[in-house]
Order: sequence, then C-alpha cells, then structure tokens
Amino acid sequence: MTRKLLLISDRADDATFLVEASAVTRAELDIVPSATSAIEKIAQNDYIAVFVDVTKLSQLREFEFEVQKRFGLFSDRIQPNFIHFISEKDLSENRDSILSPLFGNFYQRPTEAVSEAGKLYGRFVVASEKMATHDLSHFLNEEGIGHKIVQKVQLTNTDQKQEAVEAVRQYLIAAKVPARVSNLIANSVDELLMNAMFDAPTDEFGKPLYSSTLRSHSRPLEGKEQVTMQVGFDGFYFGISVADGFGSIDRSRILNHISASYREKDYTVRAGQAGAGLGVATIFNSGGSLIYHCEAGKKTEATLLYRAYASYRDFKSQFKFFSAKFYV
Amino acid sequence: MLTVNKQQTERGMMVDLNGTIEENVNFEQLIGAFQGDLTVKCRGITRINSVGVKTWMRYFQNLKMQGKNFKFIECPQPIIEQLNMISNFACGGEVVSILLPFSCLKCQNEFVANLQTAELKVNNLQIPNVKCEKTECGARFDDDPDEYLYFLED
Repeated sequence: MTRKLLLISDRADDATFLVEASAVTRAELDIVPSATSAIEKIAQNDYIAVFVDVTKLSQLREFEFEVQKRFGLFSDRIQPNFIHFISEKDLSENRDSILSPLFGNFYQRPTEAVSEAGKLYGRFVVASEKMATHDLSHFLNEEGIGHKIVQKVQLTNTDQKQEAVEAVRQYLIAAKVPARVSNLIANSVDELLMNAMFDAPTDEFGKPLYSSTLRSHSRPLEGKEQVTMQVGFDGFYFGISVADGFGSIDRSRILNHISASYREKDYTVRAGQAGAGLGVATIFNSGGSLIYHCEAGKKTEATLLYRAYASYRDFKSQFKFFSAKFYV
Repeated sequence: MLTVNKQQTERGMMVDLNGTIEENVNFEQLIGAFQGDLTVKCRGITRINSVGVKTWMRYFQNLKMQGKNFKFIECPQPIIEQLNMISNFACGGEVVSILLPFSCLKCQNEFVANLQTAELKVNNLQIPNVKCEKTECGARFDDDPDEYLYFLED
C-alpha cells in the first residue's frame, strides 16, 4: 500500500518543507489548500501524517469543525498523534492550538535552512511510525558524518542522576559544543531524569509514589523504576532520551506546563516538592525539539534533539518542534 | 555542587557562588548568619535546575520577609534565564550587574562583559560595542538582545 502524507496549507514554503520530509519518509505527498477540501481525502486514504497550517485561529477552528462534522473529534480515524500543526508563531504564542483536542505535534514554520529542517522532520515522522521499536537512533541521520553513535545507560539509583548529567555535559564539551549550550542541555537532562525518577512512578491505582519526596533523597531504582537514558550524536544533531517503565504522564498536565507562563504572574513556591511544571518549562525553553512518547501503563520516553552550532545565538534560533504522542 | 566563599565586611556580607544549584543545595547552611546587607556574586553559577530554583526563591523570599536587604551582582546566563522566565525570581533583591555573552567574529572566542543594569537602562537596553579580549577585533552579542534583557524592560 502506498504510504502518504497530507498537507493542508496554501503556502509554497510549507510545500517546500514537506517535499523534503516526504522524500525522507518515502511517502507520497498530497496537498490541499483548506480543511474543507481535505476531509474527503482523509476519509479515503490512510495518511501516516496530516499537516495543518494553523497560523490563524480561523484555520484551526475550520479544521476542528470539519473533523468533528465528518468523523468526530475523538474518532480513531484521525488521531492527534498523526496530526502536525504548523504555525508562523512559536508554540508559546499558540495556546489555542495546544488546547485543541486534535493537538499532537507542532512546529514553527522555519524561515531559514528549510530543506534541512524538512529532512529532520521527515526522520521524526519515520521514527514515530516505528513506535514499537522506538529508539533514539531513528531520530539521527544515517547520512550524518558517516556514522551515528548512541550510548545507552541504565540508572539503578537516584544518586546516579548527577553523575549521568555530568557525563552528558562532558560528552558535549568533548564534541566541541560551547560551554553555555552544554550547560543548558545538561540542565534539561537533569529535569528529564528527575521526572522519570520521582514523578513517573505510580502505584497500581495511578497514585504518584514519590512526587512529594525530596529530590535529594537517595533511593534504589528497581524493576519498573529503573530509568534508561540514551545519548546520541550524528555529527549534526544531538539526541538524548530518558525512559521510565510507567507510562503515567498526563497529557493535559504536560500541555498545561508547556503553555504555562511565569512571566505574567508571580511564581509561588509551594511547600511540597510535587509538580514538574517548572522543570518541563525549563526543558521546553532550552532551545531544541522535545518529544514525549507515552504508552499508558508501559513507558514514557522523553527525547530532546538539538542541532549542534558553534554559536549560542544560532543554537537558540534553530528549527525546533514539539510532540506529545499518547497511546492507550 | 555549589561552593560558597564568604567575606564579612562592616557594611555586610559578600558571598561568591560557584557551581550548580540543585536539590542538594542548602543556602541556610552554606551562607549562614550575616550582619548588614547581603551581596550575592553569581558569576560562577553554571546551571540551576527547577528544584534549585525553588530552593533559591524560598531562601531569598525568607530573607525579604525578615527585612534583609540583598542584591545580585555579575549574574550569568543561567540566572538571566530564570530572571526572564520567572517574574519574581529576584525576590525583591536588586540585580545590580549582569554578564553579557559575546563571541569574536574572527577567532570565535567566547567571553562575557560585566555591565551595570542601571547603565543598560540609561542606554535604552542597547548592547554596547565590545572588542574581543584576544584579537581586539569586533565581537557579536551571542544571544537575542530582546530576550536576554527582557527582565529589565519596564
């Protein structure tokens, strides 16, 4: 069966981006200008990904309306995991998109290096398809500098967190990544590991086991509580993934944390340690792409992807995307 | 790990923070009791995680409630990131000076320039022209000026 992508946009730059992505995915690309004209195509084809320009709120609402009318917003026919929102604005300025029941993946339309960004996104779409064999190496480029290196580490005690974070920092510095960038990435890894060690573990009823435990508390990580970290580099992109064995992450909480702003109102420090909001915001603001993959009750894998740049300024303005895929 | 060098003078205490602010940091223990005002030199802080942010805010909010005066000098990027992300991160303390990151256009050397926030405000948050320490040639501000100085906007 022919694998296909669908783009709902009337913009030439969106088409350019997706031509690159579709070449990587080896899928055909259908392009339609509006949601109205897209809906019959969606009904008749099994698209592996549907891309929608939602720069204007009216475009988002039109898409939601057409999906609701034809299939229902919560239909299996069109799931958020396979929908990719495109916008001219950054995700932090797209609260309506985040709150949409159809939100699953998002990227800000790149204005530079469109071809390279399209190829990266193509690799992401391919990696998403290989859900059952999810692995960091899927995100990295086979054609990089001739090879890609992926290292896997199993953490068996919370004490190992700082050591693991420092190891990532040293790995980056050894790869000639600027110190500022290395520290920034190390901080994101710190947050991901803390989430996996303290926020992910739940009991059989889904009640968090350690979310109120002091993060300085030492605890062995046994069985499902073991945390797996992968670090990879293909010469252009760094990838870091952290996986836990619970799959307990809550979709609406994560999306709320992503869209939370601590700029407008004062941040209140709560007495307990619970709540990963600030940590998630830290990760999201670190400059790279962030991908959550959650299989309910089985595992959550959070992946960070960063393009290596010699300049911090270039690093911060790199093309990035956000994805939150949830599988019941 | 965070190390603290302390210097008590007649006017107050100066603490020089170096390293990472994370879950094992206890400011009450590291800084201890002091007389007069507190000046926190932040140049050596390499990163701060979310638990470190909470620890920081809890400590300085307590100081504020006790009526203590404190100020921050030579704030590096990790602190600037927090000042820009969290509106009340300074907890009422004055941010006296910040480190501006530059990279040389010729040799790619990365360095920082220490600037008084008052001076930046007087100059409408314009990034000054700075020369590379090594080659004496021009240097580029290595960040987005609007983002980096967001917390200084009125």
